[in-house]
Amino acid sequence: MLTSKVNITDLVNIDEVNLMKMIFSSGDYFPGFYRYTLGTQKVGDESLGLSTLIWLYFEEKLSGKKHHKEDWLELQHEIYDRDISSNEARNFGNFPHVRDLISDRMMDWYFKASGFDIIYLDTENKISSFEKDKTYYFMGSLICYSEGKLKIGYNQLENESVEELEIEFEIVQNYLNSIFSKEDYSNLFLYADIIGELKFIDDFGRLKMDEKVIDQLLVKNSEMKVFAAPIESRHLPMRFAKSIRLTNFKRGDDGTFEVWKSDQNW
Amino acid sequence: MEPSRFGNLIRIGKSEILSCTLKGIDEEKNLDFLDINFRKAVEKECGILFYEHEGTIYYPYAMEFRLIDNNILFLLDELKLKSFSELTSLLESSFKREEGRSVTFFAIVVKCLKKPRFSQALNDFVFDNEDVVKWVNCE
Repeated sequence: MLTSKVNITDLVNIDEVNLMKMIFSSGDYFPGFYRYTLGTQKVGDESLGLSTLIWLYFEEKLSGKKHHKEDWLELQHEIYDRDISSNEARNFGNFPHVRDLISDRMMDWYFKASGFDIIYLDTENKISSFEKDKTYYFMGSLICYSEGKLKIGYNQLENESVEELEIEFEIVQNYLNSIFSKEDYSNLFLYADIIGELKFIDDFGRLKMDEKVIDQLLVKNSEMKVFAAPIESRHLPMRFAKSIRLTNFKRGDDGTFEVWKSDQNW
Repeated sequence: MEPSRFGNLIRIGKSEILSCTLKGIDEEKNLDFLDINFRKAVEKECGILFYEHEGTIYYPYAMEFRLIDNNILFLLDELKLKSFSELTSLLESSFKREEGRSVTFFAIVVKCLKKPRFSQALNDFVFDNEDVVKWVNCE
């Protein structure tokens, strides 16, 4: 059994390079505690996709149509029921006092959010190396190397990060190549980025997107799914470890979008 | 490659992927970690590391990623947990449910003279009298 002894002063005074190494050393096929793996969530037609998100943005821009918060979060309510509130819920086996403690707060986390940052996860294109100016989903965080810094918890729409580590790119790349095989890269990293913001005003969602980014996204697979994290969680480095799912929409008879309804199991 | 002073918290080469469980701290202020594949972990006691500076508790990003009980910051924020006892109740319950085993948690709080870098303040986070907490000074 392997053990490590780490002097507390060394850890408190950790430098940029060693923190970078520690962050990437967390790459694991198993979720660890309280984290979804890339393949844990079954995501089907009921979950909002990239293409529909872009259409919703242009529908709002051109016609002003906005959708109610309850519509955006209908799917997440179902997931909440599945995990927390029903007798068949995944968390039914929790200690009763813990269920009492978390059930309302778990709903508050998404339902009281002022809005969401929305990411796409590119599950089609495999990663074989770590490149500059590209954002990667890694263990629930968005990580990007640009402008001479490794940006942890990166938000391209706001050009913000939770933490920025000033390290030469070659140091980052060499370290990653030393610990990850090509297979590891493809299993542990996904191309991803924050591509939109959904903000609730009087309980109706208003979408913000960067149209230059939309142009780049249009070449991506339109079936890619998008995920969300509350705006209030921007300070968390691994805020997409357990993402919020947004309801899908489809065109109704009048040509405008309405909430996806399906008997399909989610 | 030379071993790191951070032990297996930093991977060297394409070795087996290991998760790090905090087991305690010795008299020379070395943290003891057990490094084991997540699925093979069977520890009954797990530590969670915090920093403290001028009355405020901080959580280090290094542990947010690297500790086997990772994503503590997320959990605290999502569920608005304001105390170590609330946090450990949840973790103990989840371990029982998910892994079918009993695990108890203790805290190691490192008192820092300077505001710790690469960590996040946990405003109003408290430890209760019944919590198992070891306070350690950092030079």
